[in-house]
Amino acid sequence: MSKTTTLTLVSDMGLSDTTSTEADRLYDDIVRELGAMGILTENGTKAVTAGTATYTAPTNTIRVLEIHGGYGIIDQMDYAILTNLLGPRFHQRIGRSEMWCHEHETIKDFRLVPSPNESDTFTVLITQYQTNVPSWLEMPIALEVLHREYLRESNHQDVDFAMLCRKLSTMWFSMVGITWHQAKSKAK
Amino acid sequence: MATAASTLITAIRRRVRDENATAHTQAFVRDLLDRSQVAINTTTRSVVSDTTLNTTAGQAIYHVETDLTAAITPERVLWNSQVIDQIEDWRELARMDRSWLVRRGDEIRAWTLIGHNLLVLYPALRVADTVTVRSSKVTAALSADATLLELPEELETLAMDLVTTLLLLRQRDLDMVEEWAGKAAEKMQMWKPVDWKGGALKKGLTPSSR
Repeated sequence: MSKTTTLTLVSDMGLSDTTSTEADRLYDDIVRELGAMGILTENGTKAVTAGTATYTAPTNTIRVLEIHGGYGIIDQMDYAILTNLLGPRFHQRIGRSEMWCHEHETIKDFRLVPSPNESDTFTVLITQYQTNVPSWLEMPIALEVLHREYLRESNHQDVDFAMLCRKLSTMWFSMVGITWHQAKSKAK
Repeated sequence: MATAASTLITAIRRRVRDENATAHTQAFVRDLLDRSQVAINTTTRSVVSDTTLNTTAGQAIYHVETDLTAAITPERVLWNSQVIDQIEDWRELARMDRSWLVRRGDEIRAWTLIGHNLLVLYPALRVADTVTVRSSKVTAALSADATLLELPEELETLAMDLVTTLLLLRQRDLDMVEEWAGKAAEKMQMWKPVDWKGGALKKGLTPSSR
């Protein structure tokens, strides 16, 4: 179902007090958090070219879970460990890719090590940002948006209402099998 | 016998003192009842559906939302009249077979879920075939007042409690919200999910079962 449906629900439940741009941003934050928790997943393919070591993960990737070549799993390795293991010039190696690491500071680019010596199609399992979450996730997301929206300083701030929204979002998330991680740290 | 949405909505309106529908429109209350019904079924797995999934030769991963009709969570996979074992944590696949995604076989040994979206059949069959997937289902939308709920009757009060909680929240009757949320949570504790699995739920396959 769509992001619009959830934001309409937010507006209906909040009696139109909410700011649409802020609710929109909060929705994105929450869906990214669900993605990071491994709830929203996707599998994509990546065309790998012989001699090219770095690639960008599929669109809307939050976290890469696993990368598979035609021969099996490519292990994830920390950049520093690769340097210790293979020496500082590991990126110059060419052969069958057995490992991958995050490239620079962004997790969306990854480097295959050794650099592939032949072209292939890899499968990339990811957690993903989606705007078409299943319909049964809309209510807990809407309640969580309301919690954050009414907790922040604004002309419609209402801490009691916000905390009850958090309580109910936690309850609804747990009904659909999700332990809402932030509930423990922030709820009163 | 199943109850019509309107009957429950009338009772809910009495609870929140909105008999004349001045605070909440009928369509809005029905939408909340619809969402509550689905959420309850997600946790109780009372209403299920069996979907025949046509598998593709060599394909291990399928999408729950698009490949299975109105499924929330797959509960059981049946192939060749056999209940297939479920692996609890999909990461176990990598521990037992580093080529699990590209492995081909003549029989399905196990299935698992990656997140809520991806269903894995391991190993992928060499030829196209069918499996039957039993899933808790997204109950039919309450599109009109006369539409009957699909939940068993004994769960209808829980659905009413959830809608009551949400309407009181909307009305900013915050003290009452706590009370009704407590009632709903208490009722939810009483319901153990129906076990449809049949097959073993495994941490991972033993080497002999590969």
